Amino acid sequence: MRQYFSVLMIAARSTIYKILALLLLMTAVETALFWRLLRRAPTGELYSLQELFRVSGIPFVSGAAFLLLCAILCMVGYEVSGSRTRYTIQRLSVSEERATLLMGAYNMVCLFVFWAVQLLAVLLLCRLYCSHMDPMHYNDQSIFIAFYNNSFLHSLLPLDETSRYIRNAIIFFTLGISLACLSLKQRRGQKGVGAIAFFTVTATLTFPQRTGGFFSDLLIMVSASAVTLYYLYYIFKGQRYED
Amino acid sequence: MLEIKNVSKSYGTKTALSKVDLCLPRGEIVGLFGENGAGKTTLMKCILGFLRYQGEITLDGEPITRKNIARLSFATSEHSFFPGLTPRAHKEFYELHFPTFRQKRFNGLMDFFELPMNKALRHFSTGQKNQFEVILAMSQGADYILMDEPFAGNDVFNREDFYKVLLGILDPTETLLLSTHLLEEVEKFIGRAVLIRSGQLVGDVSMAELEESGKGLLGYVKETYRYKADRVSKALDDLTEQE
Repeated sequence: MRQYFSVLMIAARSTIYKILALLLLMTAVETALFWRLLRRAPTGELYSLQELFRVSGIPFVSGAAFLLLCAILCMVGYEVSGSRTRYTIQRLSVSEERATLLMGAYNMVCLFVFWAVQLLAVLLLCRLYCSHMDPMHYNDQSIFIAFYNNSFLHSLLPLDETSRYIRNAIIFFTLGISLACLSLKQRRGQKGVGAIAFFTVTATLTFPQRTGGFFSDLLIMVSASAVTLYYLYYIFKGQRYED
Repeated sequence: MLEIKNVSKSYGTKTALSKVDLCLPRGEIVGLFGENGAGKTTLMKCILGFLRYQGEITLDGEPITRKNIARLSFATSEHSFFPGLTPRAHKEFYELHFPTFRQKRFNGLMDFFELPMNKALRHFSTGQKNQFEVILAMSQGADYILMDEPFAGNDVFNREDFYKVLLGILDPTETLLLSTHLLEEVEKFIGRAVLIRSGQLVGDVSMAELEESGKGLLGYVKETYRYKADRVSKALDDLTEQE
């Protein structure tokens, strides 16, 4: 068990401070953008809660932070600065395949933490909205309606739309595995940045979906599952090119 | 005992190793010599299982697998550490992963070479990176320490320090296989010299035998390689005649 933990420790030690800094920065920028519009409310244009999230650019900040998070995660085990980490990873008592799966699991946890922090941040911003605005402009249903109507908020917390929860879980699972495969591909002497970058950007761009988009969710789930199966196959059956 | 029996390795049509037989008992310091491209690095990579090969390599009669790979450590001028991590993080990782990790030796060597514990390795100089690479290999707690040009880029004083430390701290049961071009520097402390040329083992002699025969290591290497001492003067003569 200790050897598995040691592989997770390498992943955590390589990324944890960068991820914490990223989450802090993202939350700070989102709060600043939200507050900038909200404090103008008494004299300037009045926004509903869902409109305020859209106009403030928070979904864009969140997407950019998500891509940065993916970039940080895929660097675990990636050979940079002329180092050949493959000579350590291939010499462990944990096989490289299992080490990649462990890194994939770590990536999934980080993506889940990102989701939780983002959700907490928007819920706190909702609370800020309610405390700042005149009660004439919101009611008990305002937050519920915002999460129902706004694509970004709805995909973050899909209320009772179960397929969206499953879609998000599958996206996190697929991204976790595929990001871990990037460094594996490099260690095996292959290239694979393009395909993984394409999938990551597509996942980020298609994340906000309207309520009730079952078929688009299904399409994403099927596509993501196919990508996962491909990478799982690659981990265990992929060829290693020798120098 | 580490036994290499009839090991061959080809990269496509190029033969890198051809029917190599070598036996390394416990407690020896063995120098592995040969010109660039002779097959020294390939031999080490085959021992460590980084490359597929024909033949048999065993450790105390057992094939080298994940069960016994921890009995081998590796230091290379290509560097196998994680450049984004600090020496402290590496120490914690090795402690978790390798039950025989020598903490006291690690701390002692870090102090001796005055390397910072909390600075990311990518910020180290090349000489410091080499030192750390060797420190990790020495501290893993392995029975067989394989070093491939570990001092490339270190100055002569630094190398001198390392040789003294190596001699002082190696246990009588630890085996060191050292690949280097610095024949005159290492001949003082190696117990055996193995020569490889064009993938074939062309010489294997103990330093005691060499001493008895009155030959130096350099002389032995030149003789084995049938080095033509007059080739430089001939080439110069030819060149000056042309002008």
